[in-house]
Amino acid sequence: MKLSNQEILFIDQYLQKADVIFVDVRSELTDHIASAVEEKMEVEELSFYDAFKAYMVENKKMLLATSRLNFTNYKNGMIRFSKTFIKPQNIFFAIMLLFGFRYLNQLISLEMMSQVLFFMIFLFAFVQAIYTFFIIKKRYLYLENSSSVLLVIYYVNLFSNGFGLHAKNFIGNQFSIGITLFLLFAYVGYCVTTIRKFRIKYS
Amino acid sequence: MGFKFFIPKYFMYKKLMYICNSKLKMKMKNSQLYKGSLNTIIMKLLEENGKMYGYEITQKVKAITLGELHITEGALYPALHKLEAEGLLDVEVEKVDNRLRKYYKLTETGTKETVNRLAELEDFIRNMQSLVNPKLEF
Repeated sequence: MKLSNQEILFIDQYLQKADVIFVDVRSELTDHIASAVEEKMEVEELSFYDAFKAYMVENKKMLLATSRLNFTNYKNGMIRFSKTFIKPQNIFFAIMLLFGFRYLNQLISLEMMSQVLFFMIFLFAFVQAIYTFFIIKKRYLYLENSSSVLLVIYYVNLFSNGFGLHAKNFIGNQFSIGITLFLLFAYVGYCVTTIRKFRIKYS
Repeated sequence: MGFKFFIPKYFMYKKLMYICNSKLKMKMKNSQLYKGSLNTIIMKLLEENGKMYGYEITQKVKAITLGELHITEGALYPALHKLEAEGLLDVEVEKVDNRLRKYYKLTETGTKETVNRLAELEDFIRNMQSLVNPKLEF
């Protein structure tokens, strides 16, 4: 027995009211619940609402627990990001940075570079927020769990280079700046890949 | 010929039934001993069936173990998402019966990793079998 459009919409709205904010998580849960309800309706000969109620009484807590943005989801973002390090363009960029800093020092001071890094981190966070809230206008866990990576880069920069908004607070050196720049470069590559995959999957 | 070819499929899943973490409904109480094998169960199923969606995986496990093992949603989806993040699974979204359905399938790396993990699990089962019940032969 297949559920109608209205019944699917009912499940979706139920989950929305239960604070399942991410569209991708919600659609997966909707499909899971709908499949279970369809089976229940067929086997136990129940109406949609009875089958839905019976299923949710038993499984609601467990289902909703999987829908929150928690440490496990952030960790998944980190794991996915860590796979980007072995890409040839990132390794090439890291080697270029290693040799390039000898000349880069003469063009721009490390203190100034640290300030630029802070600016870039905030800029990326801002661009991500704009993309989520003004371009796609929906929240996807697949995209948002990558924000943990930017947070880690922010802290790496903070602890290795100092608080970059004031040049006098600079505590880093060319290697710490290089590592942060490399991470940021890898992050941009990771974001582009993630958005591209996301568009293919959810187009 | 590998060890796995001598084990009937049903018997193997009956063994796997005991190998799961605390979030699975199961008979065995000391499940911490076997934590971590849920991923291998998922990968094995995907290797056999090509692509599957979440609910289908729970039902398949239930059917193979004759209802004795039930993977809950709270264990299944975090495991699937982690395997996807690790690059072992890929995702396809399709519109089926008025709704979006997310299918999981093994990547190339995932297929290779499944072979390793199954071999590891089979070694584990064999060793445990030797320790617990040395008289029983496969």
